[in-house]
Amino acid sequence: MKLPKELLKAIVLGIGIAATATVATSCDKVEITTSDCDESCKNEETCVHVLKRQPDYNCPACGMG
Amino acid sequence: MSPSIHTGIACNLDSNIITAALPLLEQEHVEAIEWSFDALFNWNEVPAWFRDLLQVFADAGRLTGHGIFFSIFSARWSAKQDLWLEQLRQLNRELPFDHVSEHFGFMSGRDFHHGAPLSVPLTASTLAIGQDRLLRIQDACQCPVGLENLAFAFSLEEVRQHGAFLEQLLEPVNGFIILDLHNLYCQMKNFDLGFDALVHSYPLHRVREIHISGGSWEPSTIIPTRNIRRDTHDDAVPEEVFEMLAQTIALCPALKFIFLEQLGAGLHTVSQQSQFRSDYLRICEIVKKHAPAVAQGDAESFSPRPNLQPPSAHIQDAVLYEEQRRLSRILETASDCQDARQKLESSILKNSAWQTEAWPDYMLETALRIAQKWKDGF
Repeated sequence: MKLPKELLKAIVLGIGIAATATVATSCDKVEITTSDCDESCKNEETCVHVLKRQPDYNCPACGMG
Repeated sequence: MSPSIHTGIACNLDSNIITAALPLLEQEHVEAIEWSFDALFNWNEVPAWFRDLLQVFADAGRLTGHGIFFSIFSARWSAKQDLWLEQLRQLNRELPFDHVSEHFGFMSGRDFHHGAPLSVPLTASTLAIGQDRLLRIQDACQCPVGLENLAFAFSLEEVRQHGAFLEQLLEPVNGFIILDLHNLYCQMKNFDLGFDALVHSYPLHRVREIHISGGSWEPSTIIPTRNIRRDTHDDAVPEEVFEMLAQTIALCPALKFIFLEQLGAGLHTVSQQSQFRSDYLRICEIVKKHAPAVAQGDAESFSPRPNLQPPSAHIQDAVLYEEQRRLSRILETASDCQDARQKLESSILKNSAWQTEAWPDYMLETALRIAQKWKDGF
């Protein structure tokens, strides 16, 4: 289906922002920040308190994941 | 005249999915979008560009809604289900769906809105509850409603009954089936079944949509020689599933949509995104080759039956609710398959319609893994 060019441009721009902010339906991007984590170590690259989920992206939406 | 078949993607608000799909959108290969609308019910704001994307497809009658969290077989009605219906009712006014679907099953999590959907036995009570919930969904969205076949089954008997169960659930609302071919593939591999026998156990005249996806293998600790196929949506489409698609299209006279589903979490790399597009274009080729073989005739529209209203009282079942609650608790907390088996033996599930005694250990172990992974939602 043909999409308006303006929309395609908006999507490209939107993806750039969404890459850091939009994780609503992505199952493995949830991170748990523990109570030990203060503002000074919120950088996920260096923070030792951010518990990344395992690289295991099964999803309940599929019915079996 | 049979409907033309529209190929599309399951497109959620996920930057990896949209990045992977962008070249396909730019090249006008995407004819429809399926959106899991309830994943965003708790979000206050949806980006305008995503909303606009959905609107373009909705305006063309090419947007379908695919719910995740309604939990149609939960035996006790919840306020969350009321809210879910109200949100769907409102959403459908703004972004009209061509049809709305949900998953067969009840959610295993603590309040039946978390966790993964698990199957239920076919009984008069489960059938009545499922029919009641489908009628309420249809009343909210005022368009065709359907259910997707489940990948997980506790037993071979459940697999054999699944098609007939779907038929009985859907007939009163003139509903349709999403035939997920990777879910069928999981059942073929996990229960040693052939494609022909399995696909013909479904009411194929009700198939309005097909899902294609990939998945993964997980070793069974119960039977070391067996790997369990899981519908994890995180890898390329297996060759056998493409072959199944080629065979299935001609069997489904009411087929309207075919969607490729993959989680954004499996689309991190350029290579994964390229594979996604390659899989999608392969589906397009198969559709182009096999669509003319679709039987001609009056296509089933699956329109809501006139003057069908849900009753004011929700159908509920206190015993079934307790069984679901107990099963969820066991699956979420058992330390291993043996522990789960012992707990089932000493619970109200023993000698019940669930026929837990007939569940093979390797699938009970799989149920444990699924329930314990998703008990807190995602």
